[in-house]
Amino acid sequence: MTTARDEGFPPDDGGLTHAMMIAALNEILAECGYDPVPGEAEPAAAGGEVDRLIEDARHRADGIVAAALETAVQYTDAALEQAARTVLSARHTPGCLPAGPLEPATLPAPGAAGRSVGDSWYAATTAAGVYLPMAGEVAARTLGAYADCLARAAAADPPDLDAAYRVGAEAVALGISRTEALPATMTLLLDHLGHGDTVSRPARQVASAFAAGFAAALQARTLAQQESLHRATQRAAREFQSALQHSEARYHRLAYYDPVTGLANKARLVQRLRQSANGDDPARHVGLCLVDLGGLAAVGEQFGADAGDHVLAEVARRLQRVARHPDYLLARCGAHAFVLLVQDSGGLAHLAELAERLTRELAEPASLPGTGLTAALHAAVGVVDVPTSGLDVTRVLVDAEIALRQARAGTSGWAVYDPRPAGPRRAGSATGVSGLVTGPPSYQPVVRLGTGRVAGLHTRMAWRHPHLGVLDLRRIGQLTGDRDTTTRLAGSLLDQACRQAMAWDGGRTGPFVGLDLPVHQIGYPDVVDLVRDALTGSGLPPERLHLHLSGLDAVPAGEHSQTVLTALAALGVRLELDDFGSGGGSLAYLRELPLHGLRTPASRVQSPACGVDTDRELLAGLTRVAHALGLTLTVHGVDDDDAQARLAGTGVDGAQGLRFGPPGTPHQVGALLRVPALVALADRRVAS
Amino acid sequence: MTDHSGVSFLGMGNADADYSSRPSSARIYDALLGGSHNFSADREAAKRLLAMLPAAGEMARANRAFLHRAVQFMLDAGVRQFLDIGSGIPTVGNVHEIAQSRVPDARVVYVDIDPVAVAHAGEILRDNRHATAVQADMRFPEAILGHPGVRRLLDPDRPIGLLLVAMLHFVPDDDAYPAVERLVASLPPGSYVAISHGVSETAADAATDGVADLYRRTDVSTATGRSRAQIMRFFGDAVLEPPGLVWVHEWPSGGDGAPGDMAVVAGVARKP
Ligand SMILES: C[S@@+](CC[C@H](N)C(=O)[O-])C[C@H]1O[C@@H](n2cnc3c(N)ncnc32)[C@H](O)[C@@H]1O
Repeated sequence: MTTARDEGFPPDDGGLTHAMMIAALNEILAECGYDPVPGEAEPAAAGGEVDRLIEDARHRADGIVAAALETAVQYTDAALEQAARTVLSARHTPGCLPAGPLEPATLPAPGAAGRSVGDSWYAATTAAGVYLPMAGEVAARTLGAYADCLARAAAADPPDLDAAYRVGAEAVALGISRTEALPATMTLLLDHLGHGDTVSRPARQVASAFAAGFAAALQARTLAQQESLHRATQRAAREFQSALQHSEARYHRLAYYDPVTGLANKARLVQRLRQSANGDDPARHVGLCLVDLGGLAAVGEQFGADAGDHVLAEVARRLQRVARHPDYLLARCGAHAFVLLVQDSGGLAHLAELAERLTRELAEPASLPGTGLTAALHAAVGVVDVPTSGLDVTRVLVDAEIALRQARAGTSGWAVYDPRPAGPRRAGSATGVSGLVTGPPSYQPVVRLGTGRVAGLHTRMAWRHPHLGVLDLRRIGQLTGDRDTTTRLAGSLLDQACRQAMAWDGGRTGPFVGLDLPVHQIGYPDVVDLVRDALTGSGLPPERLHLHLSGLDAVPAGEHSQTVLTALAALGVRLELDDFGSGGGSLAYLRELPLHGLRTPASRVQSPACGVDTDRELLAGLTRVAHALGLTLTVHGVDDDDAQARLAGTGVDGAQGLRFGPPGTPHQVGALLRVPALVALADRRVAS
Repeated sequence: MTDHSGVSFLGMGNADADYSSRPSSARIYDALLGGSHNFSADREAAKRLLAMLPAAGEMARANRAFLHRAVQFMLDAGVRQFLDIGSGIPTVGNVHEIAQSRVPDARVVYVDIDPVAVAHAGEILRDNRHATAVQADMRFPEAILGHPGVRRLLDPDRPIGLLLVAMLHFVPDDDAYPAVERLVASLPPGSYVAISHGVSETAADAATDGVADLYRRTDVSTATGRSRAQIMRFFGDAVLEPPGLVWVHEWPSGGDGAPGDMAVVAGVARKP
């Protein structure tokens, strides 16, 4: 026994240790391709022989390791590390210590009469709130074995403090991981190691070494767990970020392309126009042809949405024939409208020629599949040509629309926007809006999908203009640029909505009322005053007023929008971002705005090409992202069964659309609020 | 019509990148079990929970022990694959440790809504070919059943042990019943379902409001007890193994039926 001493393992139970040593060495030898050391020698009978073998094997192992280090290429780090671990564990486990929880079969019989020390120890730890993941009997026997090991350590001369220390560590590994268990354990062990009232010095030393091992292991365990928790937290945060980017990428693909025609959509068009506006050549012009198909609505109504889609695809193909040029961008930017953007316009003559060709392409009616019928397209084209410097995107689109109206009024099928003021056709655009007729507000239910109940109402108000047709608040603001009118009309819309909500239910939990507020067109701080006045005037609890932001308001325009939105949020109203996903920017900015929810039109998350499952998956992903940001997600424009089917199982919080109830009068809504079960039923049917 | 405001749309709050500032039920539970996989916000919440419900720690341990016995029971019955939903932070005595110590290639899929718990489990299971952790919300069972990890590991033609241990009381009725029904329906015959659940109608009832309030501030929805009859409904057509739905510490050996301080009942049922 001369070799083992200096390695510090217990001298009095060499048998087990030797066997383990041999096993460990054989493992190393085998890994390195050497013959194993014979291990069948009986240590009790031939201790010297075994020692010699080990000594010899050691030498060989050392040689091997040295050789391995020299020719490091031959041995992987992993193999060496494992070899090292095997040797270490063979050296460090006290022979008396069980390698793990002791199963009943392998156990010595319990102590003679009464409760064994293992039983008492187990009872004490349980009382201290320790949970050991094994049957009570197994735990008690394992603890009994620890106690015996400590007794042996105390009996050894000198006392084997190393072993005692390791038993302490082992107890923590078993699961005794609370300091609360230490007092009872120490009392119990001192009783066990002592004789009556006297506890010998070696026994106290062994108990202390046990405590030290226990404390060290507990600390190591705590630190390790904290560290792994922090790692897990970081990883979760990273995964969240990448999930965010992933759905962002997918969402943007949908956000920039129209699934029906495969053309760019309005968001992409706007993005391109903005890029042009930021171009560095002030002499450059952009041109825009807005193509509207007057005949398409009728096709949809008579032959269904599929026939409508078919015609749209056909129109897209014809337009592409004209638009095949790297400088042109063809976009679908409305239910039956397309835009041809010419990024480097050669002036009005150039655009007029294009408009002519577009009109000619669309003169032929389109065939309706499976019917042998054709449908007239009734196309009209509005043309605008503007310098890129100082280009106002919204303005350009509005101008194109005005030109389109002129085209409809004329005979050639197309018209150019005339920038000169005056002229009877443009009466309303540059001056204030006189002659606006206010229509009655409508209220459309927003249903909470989990319960099928009506959570709130989305209110809209429309104004009829003698020349420009029916306009909403935002359009009025865009067309007139007249802040006072917009503010006045917004104020009356807010007042009316708040009072109506109070009329339905005066409590905190009544339905919310949501409305689209053109925050930037009203401006700060006026918009905050308007909202505050409407709330105080009506007494509506602020959280029942939901303000929908879209367009410019939804773009993170830096500090100013922060200020406005924060001031609004401070009133206690809830801010929801509409048209979620249209336009650029990253979703991450959502975190910086004081938002409560997101809204997205059903059409944006619907692509017939990919099918219901893909859409659903996308929606589910978006919902997870929204939820992770602490936001609700509401889908609006859910008008048919198809759109509704796409919501099932996605976790989307709220839905709005014909499928959940058309816009109604205050009276109709009042009745609806009294029979929530109907809506609930409709929802259940699809969810199942 | 208490549901109108739209304010309560979500049971889940801001799980944004800073996970440590808000307690999570998985980490509170770890703290109750004496683990150190928790932040100070979690320990604070655990302390308040113990003040309201002094037996909470004991219940957590009894629950964990039930999980252990239920897995052993299912292994005895020949089950070799487990779907542990609401598995929490891997702590002492995890299902894969119990199962794989007896059957090395036993399959285990952990599912939890808590991203940190799942990331942590993923770390531990990195080298385990037969076990994985999936982040999902049990309210959307299709997402669980269709998850690649679940499909890779669990053979839908051989019995599965479905574990819903101490988690259903976090899920509101509207979602919980249809979801469990769907999950149980997906199991092949001979599968088992283990449920433990906080029960109303007990000593702990008095503390219910406070406890609900506490959990409302965590990242998952409120914990609410259900009556035994309501809990029984979760088993559907599966047949309860003896001794039936009993106090969590009395399964399966039975006992005197005295709740002690327990407010949790448990049962295991076999799908015919
Ligand atoms: C008290 S722990 C139970 C842990 C483990 N099942 C046990 O009994 O030892 C409850 C776990 O359920 C999870 N949980 C809560 N709601 C969930 C949901 N809707 N889907 C998945 N997991 C959920 C929590 O994140 C938490 O980890």
